[in-house]
Order: sequence, then C-alpha cells, then structure tokens
Amino acid sequence: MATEANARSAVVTRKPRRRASFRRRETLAFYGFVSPWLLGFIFLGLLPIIAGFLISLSNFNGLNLRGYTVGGVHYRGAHYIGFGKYVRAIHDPYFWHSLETTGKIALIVIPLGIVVQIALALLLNSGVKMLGFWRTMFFLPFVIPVVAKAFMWKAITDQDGGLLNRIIGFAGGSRHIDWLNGHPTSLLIMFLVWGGAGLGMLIFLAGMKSIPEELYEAARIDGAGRIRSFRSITLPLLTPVLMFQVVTGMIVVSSMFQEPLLLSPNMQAGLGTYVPTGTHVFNIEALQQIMVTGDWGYGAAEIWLFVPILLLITAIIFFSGKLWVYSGSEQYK
Amino acid sequence: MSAAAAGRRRRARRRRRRTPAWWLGNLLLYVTVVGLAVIFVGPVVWGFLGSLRPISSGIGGPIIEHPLQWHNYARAWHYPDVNFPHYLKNTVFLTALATIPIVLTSALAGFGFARHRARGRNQLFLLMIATTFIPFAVTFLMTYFLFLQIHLINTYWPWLLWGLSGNAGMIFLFRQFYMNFPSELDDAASIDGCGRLRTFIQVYLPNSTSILAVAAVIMGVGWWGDYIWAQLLLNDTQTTLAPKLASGYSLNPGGQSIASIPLTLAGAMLYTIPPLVFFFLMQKKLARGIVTTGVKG
Repeated sequence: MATEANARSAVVTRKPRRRASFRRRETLAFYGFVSPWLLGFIFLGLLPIIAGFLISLSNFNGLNLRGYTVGGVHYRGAHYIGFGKYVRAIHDPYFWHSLETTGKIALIVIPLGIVVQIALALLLNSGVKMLGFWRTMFFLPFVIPVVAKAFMWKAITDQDGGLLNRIIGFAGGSRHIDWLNGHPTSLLIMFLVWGGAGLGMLIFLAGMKSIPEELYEAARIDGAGRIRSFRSITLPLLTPVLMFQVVTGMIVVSSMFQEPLLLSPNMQAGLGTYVPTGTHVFNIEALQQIMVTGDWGYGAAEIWLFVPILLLITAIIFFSGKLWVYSGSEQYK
Repeated sequence: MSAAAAGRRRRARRRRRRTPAWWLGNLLLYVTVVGLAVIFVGPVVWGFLGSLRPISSGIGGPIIEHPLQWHNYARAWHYPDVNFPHYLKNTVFLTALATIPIVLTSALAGFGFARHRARGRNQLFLLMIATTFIPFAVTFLMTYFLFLQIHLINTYWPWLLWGLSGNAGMIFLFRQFYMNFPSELDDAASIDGCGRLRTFIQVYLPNSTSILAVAAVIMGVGWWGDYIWAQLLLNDTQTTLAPKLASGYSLNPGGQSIASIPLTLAGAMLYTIPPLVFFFLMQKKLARGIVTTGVKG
C-alpha cells in the first residue's frame, strides 16, 4: 500500500518537480551570474553609504576611531554627537556657496552641452562625406586622459601666449586674460562641453538613425522644409534621448572631482590643491573638509545634506518628463 | 527598403538638387564641419606644438617655434624625477587589473538579467539602474574610509575588487544587447548538453565582440585616465602616471619648483598615446557596437 501510494505520488509529482527544479536551477544560475555585481554593490556601495551616515553623526576626525592615551591622559574615541555637524553645515556660507557654484555650472554645462551634441549629431546625420573621420575627430577628447586634457587646456588658456588669448587679441581684445585665476568657471565650462560632446553626439546620432525615414518623406510631401522637419519630427522623437542626456549630465556634473582640481592654477598640492572659488564645487568642498581639515564628521554631514537635494532635483526632472518626453507610440520609445 | 531603392532615391535627389543653392548649402555644411573639427582637435594640436618648444620657455613664442625640440619626448621619457617607464608599467597593470574583470563580470551579469527568469530579477534590475543615480560623492570618500579600515591602502586590491564587481552602466549595455539575441541559440546549446555558464562562454561571448569592444574602450579609457583614486589610495612608488604627471615636470627638482610647460606637455602626449592606439584599433568594432545597441531612453 505504502509503496503503491509512494509510486503514485511519484508519478503525479514527477513532472512538476522536474519543472520546479528547472526553475530553481535557473534562479540559481541567475543569482550566480549577478552575484559579483550584487556583492560589489553591497560592500563597495551600500556599506560606504551607511558608514558615511554613521560618521556624519560622530566626531570622527580620521585618527580617533578608537580611544587612545597620550601622556597618561585618556582620550575618548569617536562617538555619537547627534546632528551637530548638520546644524553647522546649514549655517556655513562656504557650504552653500559650493552648492551654488555646482548649480550654476550644471545650469550652463548641461543645456550648452546638449545643444552642441545635437548640433554635431545633426551635422553628421546630414549626409556629410567621410562620416567616420569627422565622428572620430569629435569623439577624440573622450579618449584622452583627463590629466593630459587639463594640461592641453592650460596651454590653450595660458596667460602669456595661449591660443585663446592670441585669438582674442587678434580680434581686438585683451591679449593677457588670466583664465586660470580670473575666469576659472568659463575655463571649466569650456573644458566640460568640449570633453563631453563626443559621447553625447554618438548617443543623439544613434537616436536620429532610429527615426524612420518614411516620416521625413511624408513631411517632405506635405511641404515641410528642413527646419520644420527638425522641429516636428526629429526633436519630439529625440525627447527620450534628451531626457537620458539631461539625467546623465546631472550625474556627471555632480560626480566631478578631478576636473576642478586639475584645472586649478597650481597642482603641486595634490588633493589639497587650492581651487578658485569659481570652480570650488560641492565635491571639492567635502573632499577638502575630509582630506585637508580632517573633519570627517563634517564632510560626511555635508554630503548627506547634498544627496537629498540632488535626488530631489533628479526626481523633479524625471517626473517632468510626463510633460515633454514623447511616448505616443511604443514603436519609437 | 532595399539598398538599391535607397541608392536610386539618393541619386534622384542628388540630380534634383544640383543647383547653386545646393552648392552653397553644401559649402556651408563642410565649412561648419571642418571648423568644428578644428575646434575639437585644436587643444590637442596646440598641446603638441607646445611640447616641441625649448624646455624652459613658455607657450609665448611663434606658433611653430624652430628648431622643433623633438628630443623633449626622449627627455620626458628619461627624466629622472618622474621615471616615466616605471609609472607607465603601473598604469598598464592597474588598467588591465580593473578593466578585464569589469568587462567580463558585466557581460555575465547582463547575460543573467537578459536570459534568466528568477524571482526578484526585475527588482534587482531596478535596484541596479537606481545605483547609477547614487552621487559619486556619497560613496567616494567613504569607500576610502573602508579601505583604510581593512588595510587595502597602498595595495592594488581595490582595483581588482572594482573590476570583479562590474559596472551598472555596462551591465545595462550588455543586457540590452543580449535581449536581442535569438533565443534559439540557448535552446540549441542546451540540447547539445551545454550548461548555462558554458553557453555564455562558448556561444554568447564569441558573438558579442562588438559590444565587448565598446565596454572595453569605455572602461579601459576611464581607468587609464583615473586620477583621483590613484592619488587617494596609492603611495608615490605604486601610483600611476596620472598623479605623477599632474604635478608636472619640475625643472629644478628638490628646490623651488619651476614647472616646464613643454616637458609636461610632452609627458602628457606620451601618456595619451596608448589609449589613442587602443581606440583606433577598436574603432571598426566600436562603430558597429554603438549602432547595434542604440541607446533608447
């Protein structure tokens, strides 16, 4: 009896069980394949974020993680001090100034960069000959290491005989503009737009190539000129790419550490280098609070004030997409 | 639309438009393209011209300053204060240590997301996309803190760890690419008794060289140029060319520092050559990879 029941149940459950084990193996394979990334995210992404939050509530200064005794006097190690560092940051004009600088740079670099990228993509999409050659030229800055790019731009904007000053002098302006000290924001903006144009151009170009030719043909038959076609076909169908580029631009500008440092007038001091106020962006403020002043708690608190602001702006941009990103037809999404 | 029809139409359009206005429009187009290309390559050319000036001079002189100091490159290579070959070796090693695993683990994870049904997959995918929005500032300094605590400062372990944990953007790229793979490939492989990992290695990887090239160039160029991590994590002998060159070639080592602009530019040019060569070698595959992926919002 028992064996018969077993046999019957075995017969009945055999198929589902095999399917289940197939599903389980697939699940196992999936988690196996993504685990390197997942573990990396937990240990190199999540853990630092949590550590940063804990540090922002402490008086950690880089050296006092554990208590120590000097000359018979015992000093207590880093401990919880509440939200004092946050209060200090809110009342710190340098902190707000660095946020303002970051915002100003983002407000200029992102739109200007996108206009340049679309213009380049349009030029290359207009049936120009030697497409590959021009594409390579515009993409070139992407390949050059940032340190080398910074030196090239320092040579371009050199006060005594830089190319930019020669051109301005030739056009009748002053030949001796001190870009590094006097106009660091303009320099950084030129640098970022120049360096980021190539990749953005490729992304817009790919977007333009995916717009069906028939739409332009129909527009032409209806008597639309080039400008009208661009405004009524290209631009609306590119809005998803546009959104992608705006958000990417936000991430790029808010992740900027190297460029302001490397474009500062004198790089001898490494991470402690003096960065002019015009390019003293938030990241540099937090970096130098931690690396130069040694006030880890304060730097971490600044970061934790910056993050919600940044996420809020990103979210607003993202949800504003409902108003301007074209999603009329699944086909062109 | 067939290629022949497209060609016929293009020819027809060309016949139709060979008017003075067409010539003028074309002229304007090429003038703009050439002008922009000059602006984009300008800084590189200017840097190159600067690297050929006498070592103690500035950028001042005539645009092309004769005699051209070609031996500035040999000097930049042999300069005792910088030891270019040593740091070049470090840079090559660290770039490979991070880039090769990043490309492979990202491809593997992309394959996982594209080709496996599992509970929690979509949530994990959303999480992965969300991680790209985490500002670098939040993780950057605190990762340094963590490495400090587990004594990985002044070692190359961080680069290997970053390499092994892949890159969210690249995983997304691979996932999009593998989603469009014909699923018959999997079935055929599994009928032939291929396990999943073997399917990935023997079927997917060989068929994705173009997208592998895209990932290798983006990640490789990024790690080659990295300044901030090398500066933060490595000591003076272990570091890469980026921090070493960033402080410039000093004409007066040890004393009052006087940077030599031409020597520094020559060093920067030498530092630029390897990624440039890598890019040109990969270019054919790269163009194909970018077209086939097609970024879609």
